[in-house]
Amino acid sequence: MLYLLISAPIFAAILTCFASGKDSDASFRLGLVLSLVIAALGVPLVTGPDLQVSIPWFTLWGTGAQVHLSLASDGLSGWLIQLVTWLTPIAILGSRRQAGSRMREFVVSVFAMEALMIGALLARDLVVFFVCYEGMLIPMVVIIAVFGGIERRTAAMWFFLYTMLGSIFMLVGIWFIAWKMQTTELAAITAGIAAAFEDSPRTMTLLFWSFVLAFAVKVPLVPLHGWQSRTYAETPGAGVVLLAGAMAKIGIYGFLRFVLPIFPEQSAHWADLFIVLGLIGTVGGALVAIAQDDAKRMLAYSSMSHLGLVMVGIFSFAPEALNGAAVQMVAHGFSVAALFLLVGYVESRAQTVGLDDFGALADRTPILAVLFVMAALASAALPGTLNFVGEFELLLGIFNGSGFWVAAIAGLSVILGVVYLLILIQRWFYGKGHGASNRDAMTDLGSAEAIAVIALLIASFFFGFYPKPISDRAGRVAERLGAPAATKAGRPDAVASDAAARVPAVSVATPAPRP
Amino acid sequence: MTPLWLIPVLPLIGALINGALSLAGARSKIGPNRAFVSLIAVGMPALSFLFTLFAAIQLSEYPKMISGESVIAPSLHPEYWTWFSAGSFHLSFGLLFDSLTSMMLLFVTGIGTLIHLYSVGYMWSDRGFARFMSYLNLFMFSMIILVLGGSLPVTFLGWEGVGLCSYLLIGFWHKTTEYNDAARKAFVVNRIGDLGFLIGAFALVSVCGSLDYRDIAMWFRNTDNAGAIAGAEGMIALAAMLIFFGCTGKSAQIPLLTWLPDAMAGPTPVSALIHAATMVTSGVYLVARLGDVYVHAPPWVLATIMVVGCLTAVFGAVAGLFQNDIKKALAYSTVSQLGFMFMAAGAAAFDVALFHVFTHAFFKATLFLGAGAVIHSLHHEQDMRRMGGLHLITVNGRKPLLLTYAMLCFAWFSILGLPLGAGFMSKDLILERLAVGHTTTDLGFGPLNLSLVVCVVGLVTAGLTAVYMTRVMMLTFWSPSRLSDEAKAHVSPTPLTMAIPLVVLGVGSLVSGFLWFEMFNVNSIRLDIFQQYLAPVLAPAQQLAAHGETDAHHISPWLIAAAGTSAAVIGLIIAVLRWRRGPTGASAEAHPSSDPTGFGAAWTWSFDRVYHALIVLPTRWISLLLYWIVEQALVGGITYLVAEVATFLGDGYATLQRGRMRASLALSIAGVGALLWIDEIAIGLNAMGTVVLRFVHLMIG
Repeated sequence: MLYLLISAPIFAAILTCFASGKDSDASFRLGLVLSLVIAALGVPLVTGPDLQVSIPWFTLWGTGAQVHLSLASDGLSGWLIQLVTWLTPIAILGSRRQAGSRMREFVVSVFAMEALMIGALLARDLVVFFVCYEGMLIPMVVIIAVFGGIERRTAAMWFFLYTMLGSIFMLVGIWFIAWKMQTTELAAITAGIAAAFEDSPRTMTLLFWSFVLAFAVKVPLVPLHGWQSRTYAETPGAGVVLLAGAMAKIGIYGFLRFVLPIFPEQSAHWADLFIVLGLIGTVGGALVAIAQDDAKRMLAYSSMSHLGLVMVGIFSFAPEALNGAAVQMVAHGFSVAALFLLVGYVESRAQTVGLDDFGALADRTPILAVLFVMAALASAALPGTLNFVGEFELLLGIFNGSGFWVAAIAGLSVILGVVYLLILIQRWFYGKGHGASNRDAMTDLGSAEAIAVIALLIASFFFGFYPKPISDRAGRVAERLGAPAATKAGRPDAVASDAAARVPAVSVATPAPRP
Repeated sequence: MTPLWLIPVLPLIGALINGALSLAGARSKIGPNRAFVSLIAVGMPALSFLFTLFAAIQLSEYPKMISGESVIAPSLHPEYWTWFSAGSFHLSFGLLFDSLTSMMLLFVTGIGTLIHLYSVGYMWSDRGFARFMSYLNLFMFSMIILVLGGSLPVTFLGWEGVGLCSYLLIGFWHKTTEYNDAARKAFVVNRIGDLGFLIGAFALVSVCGSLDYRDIAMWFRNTDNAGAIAGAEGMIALAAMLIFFGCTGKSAQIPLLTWLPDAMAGPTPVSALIHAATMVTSGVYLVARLGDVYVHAPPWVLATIMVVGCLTAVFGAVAGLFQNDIKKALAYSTVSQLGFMFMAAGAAAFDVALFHVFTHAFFKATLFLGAGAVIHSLHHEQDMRRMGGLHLITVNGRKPLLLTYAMLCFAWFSILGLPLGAGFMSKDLILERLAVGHTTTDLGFGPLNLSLVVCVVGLVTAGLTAVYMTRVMMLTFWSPSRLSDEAKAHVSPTPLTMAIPLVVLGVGSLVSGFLWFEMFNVNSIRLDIFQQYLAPVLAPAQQLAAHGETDAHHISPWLIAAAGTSAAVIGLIIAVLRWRRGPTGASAEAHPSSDPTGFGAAWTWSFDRVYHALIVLPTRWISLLLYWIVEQALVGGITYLVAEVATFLGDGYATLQRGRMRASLALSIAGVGALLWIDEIAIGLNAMGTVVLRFVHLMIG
């Protein structure tokens, strides 16, 4: 089942390669149908029981460690995979105008990315994870470099460089762990790493940072966010949907799945540093967003602000905040995808997303205006949206775990969040029209475009009132994953039954660690 | 069993239908069928009102419920589904319908329906009629959720919802930049308060573990928890103060009052419904709803609320004296009256505060609807300096504004506190509760009876109220007309849809006070239905605050009534003498804008100026500085540097690759080989890492 889920997008990509390059509509329809089928295939991950499979794959050169093609799905992986698999058809649906005649290439890249993201989310073997995690970059860079804006090459390179630089250290780290412990399976490593490196805490710290660096770039955590605003600004809207909506979440997922369980002691030790960095990202990102006059950059900084809050929540180790982090990842996926889709629609019509280039669009494109305002409200975490549930739980947890002041500072993003979004809304949709040529280019949304956004909004509002499926499955897993670190940090209310995260999920014969 | 969920859902359906119609008809010239839109828009809140009535009747048949030692009020409290479930925090999406809810809901849906009807007439010829009605229905949904919510988060759903609708409706005419700015300001200022609400709620979770109103009340009333309450005093104070901070945002109190006068940019029915009768009073409702928290908090918390209310009341009344825009004058009046309500709440007289909420809803809605009728008849003239003698204008042998005038007189009579008007009853009760209050403070020269001081200030403010309200009436009606003959000829009559709500509310502002008439005590028949009705919910907290001295009148109600009436009469006489010839000072022609004039004009805007200098500008500067210096120069610069180096290296490698395939392969193998020496590399990295770690440790201590 899990192998099928990973290979389905690969087959889809191969199938799409055979579609006619000239008939972009055919690729569009094919991509849409196939991605919907894959999305339907993925649904049992969150409705059915947890799954796990593992087969030996190859021996890692120079270490003797056996790499297993070890996959497992639990609530957290399952829900993030829902995000990936459902955002894929939505990105395809929303890309019709932007990808234009190169629809086929776009769809193939998207499918490749989908396969690798699913792989990264299912992998329970560090090497398998790393292959997928790095592999994701290639189709994304292709999308940026082929479909991007004027400075797309620079943007693609920045994106590639930053993420590569971050991951190289993780590669070394994984390799070193494999060499020392003779295994690359997550469960075995989680259980045995403390014993294996008992006598060298410094090495543990180094390994910790090698993982942190890779994920912090992807989140991104201040000060490693340099690539973000430029990449988002140059990537086509439908591409950012996947980049910001799904891929950036894998950075946070990495913290929850790998950093906290493998390095609970180090995480607890450095927690304050991450809280400070997260707070800088939360408040600073929102402040910088206010100064933007380009919608995509503004949303990029808004994204940085929201994910900074998630980081603060994770490192407060309070179970409410860990639960909220999982919920907020899904919620932010919905809202940021909706916003970037809409911005992409504007861009594909007027070739600009400057804040001063329109004005009074509410009269000219009422459907766009209504959907945009609703998506912005979701992003600003209005109660009734899933973002509110996530933000409420995060802030509650931060208040419980880190106290009043941290919660108050983090909460400033609640205020600043509406400041920049309302500025954007006012300057685009209200007032008097200016930039006549841009305004004339604006036509209201087609039905495919509108449906893509409405689907996201319905999801956000439905789960906003009924978040139980997400907070009970994804959230509880996040609580368990954070429990060892919470215990190390001395939190009394850490989830007691952290056994599930510590005990090897698959019984593998763990070879004796190298002396 | 009355389906409680229907009460909020009906207006939501109305909002969705009208919103869809408005969107579908956005491109047509005429828009959707107005009769149908009106039917939906007025019918849905009316049905909500009916269902509220059924629920209230059903509630009256409930016996008191006793759970453990603490007695809480009978209520309908359906819980529908799990909303939050994280860590040890669980919360159901539930509603709560007890007598407090029922009182609030009856007047919210009742007055709401009337104002919807009024809006049909007022907005009929507006291009965005369906959109307006859709927003109004959405507001009704949010307001009902706010009042009906069974826990703080559900109330917060309505709380932010009304804020959103307020934003949408203030900026309804979105062609005008000032209106949009006013809308944005309202939203942002309310969000500042909302952050206080949220964190206050978190503090409350850490005190009693729940945000459900019934749980909170039971926890605080349970005598077993006395020790826990004493131990968590600081946290309770934090929760109470932060939630009150949220209330100052929604209810336009100092320090977050600046958005309300600007909010008058919205169409007048909006001002009547949202910014006078319902939404702005939700802060008072919340404090009363959490009465148990407030009476268990340290005494200075309630004292702060009292003082804030008192200062706001004075500020609003004085600011009201200098307004030329009729709606702005009424807006400051609302600010001032809300201050009175918080004065009462600060004296732990929650029932009296809510009684003033109730009577105020009638007379202030009448004032706004009357002002709206005037503005409608004068074709969007809001400057009082260009009015005068309006009730005498005759068009085609009829006096189009006579009915409006009569209703405004009723409301004026009521707000002044002249005997037997609704305002008289509720304002006297506030002053009386303050006069017998126990709040004391020590400013360094011995204990000071704070509530008595606030009572005296309140009395003076009541006099000021009489001055500014009479001024409004003098400038609009009781002074020589300043309308051009042409303007007089074009005065249009008030349509029936506007007249009916006006009459109902106008009469209400005369008689609604009789629900609680303290002085009427003949043959032991007392007119205190209002108090008795709310007692099951509010009495336990209030009795605790009064230290058991219920009904201990140290002061004669007649004395307060006499003092209040004289203050009103004195104010009335001053205003009549000063403005009997019309506006004084700079004439309307010299200052065509409706900005305030006169002595206080400069400091009416003082809050705006201070906030602009202290908060808005610094935020803007910091955000620009952060962007240009940190983001563009620092982060950007470093990234460029790295990118350049990488390009250089990459090109070098590429040339190598093109030339000698075999050599590059060898290089790759060498690279893998180097990886095998991981141990040595790790040792080297370790040494580097030690240095870095030392440094970081030094930095973060």
